[in-house]
Amino acid sequence: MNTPPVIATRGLAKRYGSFAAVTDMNLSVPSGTISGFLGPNGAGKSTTIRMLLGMVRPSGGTATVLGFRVDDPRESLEIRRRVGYAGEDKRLYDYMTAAQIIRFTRSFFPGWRLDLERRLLSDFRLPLDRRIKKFSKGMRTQLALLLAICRGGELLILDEPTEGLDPIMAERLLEVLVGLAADGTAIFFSSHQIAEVEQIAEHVFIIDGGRLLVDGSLESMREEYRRVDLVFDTAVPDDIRTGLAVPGVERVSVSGRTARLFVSRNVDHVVHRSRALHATAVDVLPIGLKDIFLESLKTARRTDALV
Amino acid sequence: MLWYKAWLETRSRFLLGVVLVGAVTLFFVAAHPFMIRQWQSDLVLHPDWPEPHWFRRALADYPYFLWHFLFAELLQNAWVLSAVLLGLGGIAQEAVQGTAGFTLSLPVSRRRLLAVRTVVAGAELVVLGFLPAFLLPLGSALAGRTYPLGSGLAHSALMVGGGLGFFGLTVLLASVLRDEHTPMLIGVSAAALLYFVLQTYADDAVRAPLWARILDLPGLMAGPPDLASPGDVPWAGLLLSLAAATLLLGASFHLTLTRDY
Amino acid sequence: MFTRPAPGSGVPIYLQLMQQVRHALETGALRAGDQLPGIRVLAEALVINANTVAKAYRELEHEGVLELRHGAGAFVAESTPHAVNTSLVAIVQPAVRELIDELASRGFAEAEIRRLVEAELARRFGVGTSLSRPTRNR
Repeated sequence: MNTPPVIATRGLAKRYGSFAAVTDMNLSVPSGTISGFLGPNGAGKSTTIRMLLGMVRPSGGTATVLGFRVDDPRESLEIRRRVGYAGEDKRLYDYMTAAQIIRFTRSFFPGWRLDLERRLLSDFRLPLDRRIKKFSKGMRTQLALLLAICRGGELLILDEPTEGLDPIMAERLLEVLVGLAADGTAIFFSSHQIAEVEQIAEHVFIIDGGRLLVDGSLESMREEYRRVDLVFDTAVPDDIRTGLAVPGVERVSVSGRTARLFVSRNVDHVVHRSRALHATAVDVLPIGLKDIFLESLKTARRTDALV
Repeated sequence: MLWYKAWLETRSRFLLGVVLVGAVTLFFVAAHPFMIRQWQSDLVLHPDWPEPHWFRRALADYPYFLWHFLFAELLQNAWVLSAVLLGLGGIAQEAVQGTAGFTLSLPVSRRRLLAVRTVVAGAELVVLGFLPAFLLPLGSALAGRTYPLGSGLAHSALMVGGGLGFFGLTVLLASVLRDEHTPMLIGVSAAALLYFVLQTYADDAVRAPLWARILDLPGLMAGPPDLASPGDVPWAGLLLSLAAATLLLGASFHLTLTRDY
Repeated sequence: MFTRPAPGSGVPIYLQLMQQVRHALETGALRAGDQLPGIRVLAEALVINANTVAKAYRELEHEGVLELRHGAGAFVAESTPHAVNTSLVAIVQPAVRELIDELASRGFAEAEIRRLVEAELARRFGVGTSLSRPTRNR
């Protein structure tokens, strides 16, 4: 459990002119498990990932992948030797056939996983002798994922891996990822599909506007995040926000006689305080990652507006 | 395997160049007897027609005839077009096509990526440049004439050395511009414009101004009709042109190494 | 025997898995001495993180339900504290089914029924979790 993180960033930042794509990003991606990287479009996920692979130079902060610094060209080379990667854009060389690009990619990686290559080829049923130019988008995505996974890296970084895959193929992929992680490969993947992150990830990072909002173990988030619905006899007391100003209450929304709380921890204490405010009914409900995601974004954006 | 990638990426342009350069070269070898016959009858039938300055010598001197039409004109054009086309490609262009992410995720430095691509395209360009040096003696022999190999080699070398700047220019354009077609359009237009403007001074009817003489790459690549001794080679111009090509390539390396993709 | 956990329910997956094992013991699908699937096999079959399966097995071992034999795998303990008699479950289950059928016939949607049940579970067992056990102190 004390193995160092596979990805560690401190104050990582990327500015394009006056636009801050990534700001003060502190990631610590644990080894030996699957971590999900969530955020709306334009949140800075791909920029962060491209900085890790040495494609984009950070404007500030530091970052290491498997202990190698991302901004040193020689160390970046070591990172790319040890990391499997499939980017957001999964287009490949149109002028090669699937067999050619597999042979081409294999030549760079001594630890190439022939067993996985065979398995994925039969799972995906890719036509080996067809030119990639004639591949459908789904087939191209499958091939790009195969080329990332079979590198045999200690770490697999995937940017939107299931985008463009049908549900069956997406499930096959998740199965492969789960198996790889069980064998000790660390996996860091971004996704818009919250359900699949929820299914296989052990750790979750949520970012918005280039900033890290949530960083935690998914199972402990499931145990701690709650929605609390309060019903009051006549009206919601005016002082509800001050009355519930305790750590863990992220957001309070009031409508008529009811108030809804978004709680990130300390739910027992929150319930206790709610009863002290004379709520007649207190409903505590577990919430899924989708709601945690949406609520975190709302809370962060509201705080931004206040600042 | 990077070499293999670079070859696959450039081979169609290279083959186009082979066809272009080969066709132009062999055309003038094959057409020589017909053109001479036509000119001789013109001389008899139309003695009043004006004669360009090269006419009498081309009529009498076969190697000069070939030099004039090939190394000083159409072959040079074909080779420069190939140089512009073979300079295209690279990481910035891959970024446009969406494959840069894959390429840059390979455990290869950007320096090496660019070097392999430049060396492969440059080598193809050299092959294209020296192709006529071998085609001319061979074609001539088949047609029952002779063309010295040494002369072809010397002219090819001068054409390649003097013209590498065109290659450097498109390599740089392709590294700067993130657009699929603009680098080619600019490269081809720049070459065409240069040829068009310099055409004005081709017949020495007007003395070319200084800038036109400095920019006279076509003149440099053509060289003097006879390259018999090292003294005939325009060394200063050649070195200047090679320096410019190196500078352009250096700039594209610098840009490619420091850019975000 | 195992079914896909519902990752979106907000209930930790390892708790859902533990519940499935307990249920299998109650119905007799699993009996003392039976071997459970390996961690990796189960993770791939259910497409969930292997560490989650490991955690469920560890917790069940802690409760005395399973025995983890090093290198051999996970086995149902010879005397499990959860050994509920099967007949009782058989009696109770129709009552629960009846209640749910009743609510559904009165027009309650699935989400509403779930909410009612979970609220009652929370009232009975504490607010921290709505399934299976009181919140752990942390």
